[in-house]
Amino acid sequence: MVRRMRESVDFPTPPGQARGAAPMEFRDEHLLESLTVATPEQLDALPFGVVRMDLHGIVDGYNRFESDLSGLSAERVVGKPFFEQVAPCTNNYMVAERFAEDSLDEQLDYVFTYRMKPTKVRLRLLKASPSAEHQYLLVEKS
Amino acid sequence: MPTASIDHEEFIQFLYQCPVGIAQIDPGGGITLLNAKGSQLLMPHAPRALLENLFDVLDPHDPTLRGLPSTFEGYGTLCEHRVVRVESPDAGSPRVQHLAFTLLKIGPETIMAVFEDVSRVVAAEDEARDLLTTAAIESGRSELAAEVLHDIGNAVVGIGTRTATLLEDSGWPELDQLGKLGAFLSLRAEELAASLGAKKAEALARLVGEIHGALDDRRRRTEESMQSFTASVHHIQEILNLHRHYARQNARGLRERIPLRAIAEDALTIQASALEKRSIAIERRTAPGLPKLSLDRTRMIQVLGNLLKNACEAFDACPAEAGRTIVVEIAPAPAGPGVRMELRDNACGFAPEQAESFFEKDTSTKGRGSGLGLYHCRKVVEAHGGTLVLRSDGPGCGASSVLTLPDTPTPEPDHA
Repeated sequence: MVRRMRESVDFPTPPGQARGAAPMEFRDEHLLESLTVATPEQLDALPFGVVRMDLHGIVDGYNRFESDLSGLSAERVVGKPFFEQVAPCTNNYMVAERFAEDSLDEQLDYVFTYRMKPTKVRLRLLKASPSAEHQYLLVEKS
Repeated sequence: MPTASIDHEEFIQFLYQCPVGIAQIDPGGGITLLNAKGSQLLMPHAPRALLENLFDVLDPHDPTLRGLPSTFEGYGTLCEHRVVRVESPDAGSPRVQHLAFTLLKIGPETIMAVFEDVSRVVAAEDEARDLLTTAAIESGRSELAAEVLHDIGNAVVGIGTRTATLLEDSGWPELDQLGKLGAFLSLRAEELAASLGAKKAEALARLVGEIHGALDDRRRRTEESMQSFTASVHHIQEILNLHRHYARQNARGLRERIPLRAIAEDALTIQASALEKRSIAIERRTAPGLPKLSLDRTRMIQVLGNLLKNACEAFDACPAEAGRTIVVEIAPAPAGPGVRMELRDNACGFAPEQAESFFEKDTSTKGRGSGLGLYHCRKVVEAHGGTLVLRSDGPGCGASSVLTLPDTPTPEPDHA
């Protein structure tokens, strides 16, 4: 059974912003900046899935929410190419090919196949720049 | 929170990475299970990002699939490898895929759908069909061309013979007689003046002299025209002979070892009028000691002819200027045994990023000739193991067609 998560999580203030509670939400305009400085524990506490990849699509962060949905542990997917081996359902022009863009902040409705069950989700694709260290795929259950 | 066992996790990952789409559907098409590949293939074609019913996704592309479960009794295969052409609903940039579906009834209310992307296979089959069609058309065209060329050749031979006869019989005895009359009148000027009067005698001699001069001038111009006409007839015969030679070769479809330069010269002869009409000079640069290559003579003359024609037509888009030149450079291939040929013009050129678009099938771009022609040219060159690229540094910088052909052994001909 999937643990009930809080709707938002207190989060370190991104550089350049006033200090204080900065709840991180799926649609937060500054979410990418917050994700960049988040610890693995903070990512695990989020109420939506977070997949952190390098610019080649190699997974280097897979939070608990996403792991629970997919049935795949972080240990199993970290180091693997996300679009080809972890979630081939995203390996098309709607998702994977979008990350070829220099920068990206796009949301779209999609259908994942968690444990073979078609599951409506809302995806958010995030990439700061071609020189960024990471890019992110966020998953919110519809 | 559930913790997946390793076995369970491995099983899930196995299904996630299955290279074909698998779905479990009910007889109405409702999707109850779907693997990752299935989602990857179907999502781009799912209207409004809804993936609840397989037939809802496929109805716009093949509505007959929906009816299969109701007409099928028992268990087994409802359809096998049914290829459906699907187009994504994004009107801005429609994407076409060919998905092959196999539907298996595995329970009273359960159907397994297995599907895969066969777009490449379909494209390869289309290409093979095109090639067969092209080959058949070319074969028929060659036979027809050979017959037409033969008939035209006979007619041209008749014209040539008649022209030669006319040139040989170009004596103008009446003109000679008129000349003699003029000389006689000059010689007898005093006697004529005595009988006709001085003015009339002078006028008569002048009239005869002017008629003779005018006719002589006309004779000279006629002979010049006849000589030019004869040269043109010879040129037509030369081109006809070349085409007849290539048409015969085309019917045989053989490769032979020949110098690329020889084919280039034939192509230049065939394109001579196009070059002359545009006042384009040809500059030949041929390295010594180049090997003969194993070539399909007919196909290669089509390639070189097409490249030359494109280079000629590129000048049509430029303002008429002096110094129009096409450099035909033939040299050893830069890597490995073979020959590199470059046709370099100083016409209008193009943006470098456009180069590959000229080779797209069914693409035609003004100023660089027919896209269909270049598509087939590249196919012919690749069938010889070579490469064909277009290059330009940009508009106004001219352009090059670079052809590289390897020196490979001549294949044994097929004997039916």
